[in-house]
Amino acid sequence: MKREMKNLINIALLFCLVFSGCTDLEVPNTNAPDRDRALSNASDVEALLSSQFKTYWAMAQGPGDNVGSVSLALAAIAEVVSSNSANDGTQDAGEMPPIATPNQMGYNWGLCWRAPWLKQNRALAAIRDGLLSIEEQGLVITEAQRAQAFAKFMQGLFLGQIALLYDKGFVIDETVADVQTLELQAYGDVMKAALGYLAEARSIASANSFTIPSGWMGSKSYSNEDLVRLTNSYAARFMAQIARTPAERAAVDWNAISTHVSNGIVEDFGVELDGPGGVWTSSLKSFSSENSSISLPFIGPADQSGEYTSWENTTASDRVPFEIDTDDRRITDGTATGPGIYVVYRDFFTNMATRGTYFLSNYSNQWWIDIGETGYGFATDITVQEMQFLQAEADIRSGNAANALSIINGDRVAIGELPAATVDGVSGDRCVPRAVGPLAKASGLSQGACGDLLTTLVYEKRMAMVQVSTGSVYYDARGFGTLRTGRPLHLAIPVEDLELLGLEWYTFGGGGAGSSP
Amino acid sequence: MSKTTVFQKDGLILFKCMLITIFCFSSVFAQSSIEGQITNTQGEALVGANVLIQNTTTGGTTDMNGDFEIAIPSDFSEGDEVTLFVSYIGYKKMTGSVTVPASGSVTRDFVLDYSAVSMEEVVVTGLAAETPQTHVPFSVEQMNVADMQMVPTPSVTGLIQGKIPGVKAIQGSGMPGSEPSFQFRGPTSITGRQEPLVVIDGVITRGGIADINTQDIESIEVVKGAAAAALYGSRAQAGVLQIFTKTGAGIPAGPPRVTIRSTFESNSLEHLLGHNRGHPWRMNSAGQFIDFDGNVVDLPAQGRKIAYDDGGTGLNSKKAFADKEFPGKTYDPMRQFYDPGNRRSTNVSISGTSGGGTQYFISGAYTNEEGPITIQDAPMIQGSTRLNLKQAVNDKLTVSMTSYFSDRDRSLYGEGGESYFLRRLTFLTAQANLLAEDPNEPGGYSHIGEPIDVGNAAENPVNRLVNTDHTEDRSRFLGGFDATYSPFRWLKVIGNVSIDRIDIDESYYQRPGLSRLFKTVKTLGSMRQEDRLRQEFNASLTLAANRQFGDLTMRNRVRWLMETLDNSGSEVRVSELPVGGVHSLGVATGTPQINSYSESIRSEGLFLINQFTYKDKYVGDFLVRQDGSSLFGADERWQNYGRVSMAWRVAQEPWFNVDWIDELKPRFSIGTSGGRPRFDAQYQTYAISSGQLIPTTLGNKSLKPELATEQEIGIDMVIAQRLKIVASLVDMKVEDQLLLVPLPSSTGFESQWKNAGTIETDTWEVGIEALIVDRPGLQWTTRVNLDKSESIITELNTPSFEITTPGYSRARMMVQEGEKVGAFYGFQWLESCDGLKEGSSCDEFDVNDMGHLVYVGAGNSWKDGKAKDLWGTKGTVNGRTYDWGHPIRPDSDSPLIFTKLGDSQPDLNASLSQDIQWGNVGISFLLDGEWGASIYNFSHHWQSRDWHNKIADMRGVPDAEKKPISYFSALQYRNNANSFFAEDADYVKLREVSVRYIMYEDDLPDIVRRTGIKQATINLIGRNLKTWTDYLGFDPEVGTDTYGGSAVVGRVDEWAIPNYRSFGIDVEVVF
Repeated sequence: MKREMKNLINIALLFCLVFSGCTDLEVPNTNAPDRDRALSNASDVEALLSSQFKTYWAMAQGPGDNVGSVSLALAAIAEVVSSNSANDGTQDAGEMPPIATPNQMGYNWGLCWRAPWLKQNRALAAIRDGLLSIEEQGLVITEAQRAQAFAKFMQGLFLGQIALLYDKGFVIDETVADVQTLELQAYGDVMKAALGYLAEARSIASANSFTIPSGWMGSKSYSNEDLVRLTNSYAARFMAQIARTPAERAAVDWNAISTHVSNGIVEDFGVELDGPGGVWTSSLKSFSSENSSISLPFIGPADQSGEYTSWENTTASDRVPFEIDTDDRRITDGTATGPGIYVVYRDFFTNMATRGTYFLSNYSNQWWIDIGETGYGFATDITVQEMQFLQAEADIRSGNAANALSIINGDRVAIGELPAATVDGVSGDRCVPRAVGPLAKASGLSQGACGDLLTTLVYEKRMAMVQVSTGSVYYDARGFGTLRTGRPLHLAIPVEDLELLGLEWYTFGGGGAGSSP
Repeated sequence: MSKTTVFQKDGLILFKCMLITIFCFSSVFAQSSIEGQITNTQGEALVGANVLIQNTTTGGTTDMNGDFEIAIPSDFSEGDEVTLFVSYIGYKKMTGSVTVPASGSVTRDFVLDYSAVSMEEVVVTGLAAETPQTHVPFSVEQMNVADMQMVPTPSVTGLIQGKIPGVKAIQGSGMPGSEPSFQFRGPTSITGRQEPLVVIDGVITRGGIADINTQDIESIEVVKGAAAAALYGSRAQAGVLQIFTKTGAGIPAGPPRVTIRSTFESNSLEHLLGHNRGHPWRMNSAGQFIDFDGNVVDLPAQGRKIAYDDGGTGLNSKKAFADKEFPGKTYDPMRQFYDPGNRRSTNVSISGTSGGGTQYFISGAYTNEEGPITIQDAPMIQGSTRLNLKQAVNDKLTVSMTSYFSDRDRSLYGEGGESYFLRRLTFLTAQANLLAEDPNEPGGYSHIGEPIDVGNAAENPVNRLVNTDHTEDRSRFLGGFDATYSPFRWLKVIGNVSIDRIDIDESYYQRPGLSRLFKTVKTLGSMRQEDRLRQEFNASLTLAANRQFGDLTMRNRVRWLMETLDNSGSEVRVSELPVGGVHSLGVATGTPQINSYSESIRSEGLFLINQFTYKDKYVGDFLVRQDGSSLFGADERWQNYGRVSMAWRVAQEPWFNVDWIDELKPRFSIGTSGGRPRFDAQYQTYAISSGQLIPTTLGNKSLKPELATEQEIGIDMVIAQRLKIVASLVDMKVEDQLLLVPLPSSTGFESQWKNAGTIETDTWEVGIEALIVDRPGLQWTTRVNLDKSESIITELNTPSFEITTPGYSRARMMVQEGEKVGAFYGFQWLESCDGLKEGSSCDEFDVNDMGHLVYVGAGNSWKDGKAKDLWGTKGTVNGRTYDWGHPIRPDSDSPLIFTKLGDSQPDLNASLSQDIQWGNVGISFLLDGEWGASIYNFSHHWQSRDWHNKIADMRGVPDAEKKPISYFSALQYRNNANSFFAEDADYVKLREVSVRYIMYEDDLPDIVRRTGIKQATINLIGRNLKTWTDYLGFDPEVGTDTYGGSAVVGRVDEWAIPNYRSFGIDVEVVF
């Protein structure tokens, strides 16, 4: 018995010994930082803020992830490109008659409409995190004004894009105490906030000298003066493009736009792409290749054969492609199938006839062919030419049409080899453009009539804006009234977020609410 | 914690185990022995029967004459009563007592009754100790090696499929070496893994079972429910699958038993995904394809140049029918691409008991399995070796070790995984010849897969395959060490350490210079190198006390256990290789992409279990367990589990006088177990990508494991030793479902893991085993299994949301209250006028032979399209314009078009097996089936894009029933999951067939016997020989484990490599 007790005590001691080595159950996640680790010091916060332009770039130039690129869908809605591939939502976007934007739970391409909402709101929340960290932790960033100005610039860009694309948005910034209880604001108010941030960025950048280093916005570095010019140019773009209708566009403050333009960029702003798989890529520009199609309504106003007019006058489902006859050398070399500067003829279709013959086009989009082929090259996001077109539009709207002619006739004459437009527009038997289809609707001119000056500006500007930045033609088209009847004027809040926020479902387009008239 | 610290801790455990071992070597030697003989009722000696002194670790096995001798432990004194427990497969267990003599030996013989149908099998999983089924108060299924040897199978999946009620096993992919998916009694998690906890010889592992050599397996135990599995705590809500490998037990001391087994199997596909052999194009009188202007189109041609034979523009697909024969030879891309090769395996094992009492099992195996693809010349090759040892050091101490090493090399069939190839196969017409030689590269395959309707997706997958090396080299070591010390008869101290280490090297190489479709610039080539290391280390210390107090037998266990898992990996991708044939990352000129990860999991647990039997009739079991894990949120680090079970052996009651009922045991069990979060779930994370810092997951310090509470009520019966029935009704509730809940984007974070829901599962299952004939020389046994489970989300503490597969199909599952787990969603084609826009008249619509509501116009039927030339026309009803005769898709201006398409969970699973042993001849087969489930056939869906699916083949179809190609393209509906491709998954499968001839030593010719051969078996085997199904894909047993946590739940057929049937021969020789 005594021996039994001794053994039992020994065993009990052993068990206790084992228990004394209890495992440490606190295990850190070394694969990804949390907020404390990500934003624990000034350089981390600066890294967070400085990385935001990459998010903007992905949004503006299309992430190219096949399900989340609204850039291509907007180009399809605006009838710049024609693609009946379901990828990137382009088939839905180009459907005839136009359909309401599919904003359904479970829709395969819903991310096209949702990604800009998610990514830009998250970016705004991240900037808020960064700015709050500075305040809460008393962090001292060496070049505090640079970081502050850049953060405000990015807040302006993100909010501006949300205001352009959606009917409502959240204004998420460091003054918001609780992001869970934010109220949605109408797109106009969101844009006001965006312009406010751009002004704030401009004010800081004007008052402080600094250099935005290489890597923040591509491989190039920028001065504080460069940032001031950028804030002016983006403000000018946003102020014009926020308009959903011709009436709204006419009512914007064109004097203010002129001021921004005159203080804006003096050279194109963009990024030198670093190739496939690199940090700086552009799926929007890479979409240009020999396999893409340019939409017939895009080049149709240049047609002199009457085929485009017939095309427009035919029931959508019965439309078949035609060969364009035009003097615009940007489209053809003067023969039916000879290559133009921006557009080339192909003897096959990249689109499927089974998905609608109105999608078919023999013309291929070549604007950014070099980038499309290689993944390298300078990809612009905002150009001097765009600013000049804004000034030209301001001139026309303020009764100084003659001032607009130089920009309208720039590429038109030099590249398109077309006769110069006058203050009355274009004229002659083979005038380009003609008011056909949506251009006729917008201008109020009779079908097939030669375009007036504003119509010519619309034609020339969209030639210059093909796939420059997300929605670059679409946003203008709704303000010019050249968006095809029934196309959505903007996007609804994505259905998943409606569900999460407990809001009623809605969508736009298809002839219902939010449709182009 | 640093790795050094971890190993220091592991070292501490090892040190402690050594202490235990040293402590145990206070041996006391035996003074006397028990000897005897064990025979059956025919007087035949039973060789290898087990004899054990009850409540001790002392025992032995009978020799060639059925004799045994066991030394009596020294802590028995003269006059003590010793109870012997005798067991032998196929015979009833027996106990018998002897009185310890002063010295010398005492004799005790046993005569065992044959019992093909009984509940005498001893099980251990989930219990305090080895327990006969008659005394288990819940359901634990056991399959012994004898059952498994009927049809030798290369995988554990094959061993289990159709053999246990409530157990579903699907091999979601036919790729050699792929892991199976299991599900016990329905889904236990909405999005988490459904896989049971796998234990191999006591080693808990998440490292998979595909590389386990099935020839090493002695038995498998399956614990299906959360209650029975409560012993395993927070890892076991989906059940436990325990594999025991051979140890040499049961082989008498003496010469070793040498077994050589060789199997050859020929594989083939029974069903293929159908294919359209007709075409709709315009041809001239010479049978050449022509374009819109009537010019002959030279093939291959880029783009869509050939005109449709539509009687008009050549562009009207609504008037083009795929009813014309292709000129020249046609091909079936599926048949050209897939041609499963053969499988050869050889297994050698040596087992026995040495003169010193060491039980040993040594095996080596080699398998060569050719891939399922025609030109694939990189088979899966696996070699493995095992060494299992068990030694009684003295009457108080037993030590044992198991070790297993395997090395497997296999091809992964190219970047993009399995889906890459079938995705391209579904784009092809019957004119595509995948095996055509490239005139520019003699000996190589053409890079153009499709000469006619060439788009950017018509690359020849065969060409890509032969220019790509994608290989995986996986090595695994699995080992464990046990020491059992019994200081007293009633007490054991058991120490265990185990390790599972898996090292995977994966490499991908695509040679530069590969031709691209209609491009002058050739591919630049790319490489990827990935290394993954996974190491799991477990240790436990157990105190086991078994005591008898009069009629009350108590078995108690206290166990402490710790687990560590370290998982790490790195990956480098490069592009732009300047020269071919150089598999070096350093030569690439493109920017390399580098990734790595590392995760560490630490867990600890303690449980106490008490199992009692009163008067051998009343059985009870109580268990409490506490688990701590680094996977749980900081505020929920420790979780508690428990179980209460009871059973009543009614037939043992003196008043129960129904002689023909041998066993009648109602039982009830209630218990809890859990399901752990994934490693990163609790953490707040910011993703860092290309220098961007992006908030991703909002952390959750309160995250805890899913909690499954299961009530099982059942009855076990044995009738007249001929019929065994095991039936259970199970109600399981799994609360605190771990869900990655999307967050409003204004929060900045994408999502957060939350405990946000509850699912409830009802299951019934019945297993019936009947001995139809039992007479000398002939035994015929029939087994029937039936089961059904239904899991419903009964509570959701977050707005409903959808989850999708990450692949192309993006089949949807809606997480919402009241929905079944495994239900999949999509868009519904209209099947009646109910779905039309409100106010639409039904007069102008009809339902066609595909069940679709179609617009036909007033006075017409869906059959009038050709006769009245209505195809290609339109009609407007209530403001909406319809294409004549085409399926009607839902409007996009309504939020309500996303509907349920089907359930992946069947209404009934059933299997029937027959085993007949007639003299030396054995015949067995297994039929297995399911009814009521659906599969989302995305392979078929994708094929419909270009109307290449078989249903679009209009050759031979009466004109009235013909449909144009646009009809089938429309069904693809922008790649959105839709009702047409939610297909019936009902099937009955002839799962196994075996016809074998066994020659025992006496049957062998002298000349053979002189070689030492004691037994030889020739076995003709077949697996999956015949499947009866209406499913249009390759095989209804298909799924993806990336959706719903298991291929059993994620019944989405997305370009998986198909499972195949096998027929072969298996020869086993025993020396």
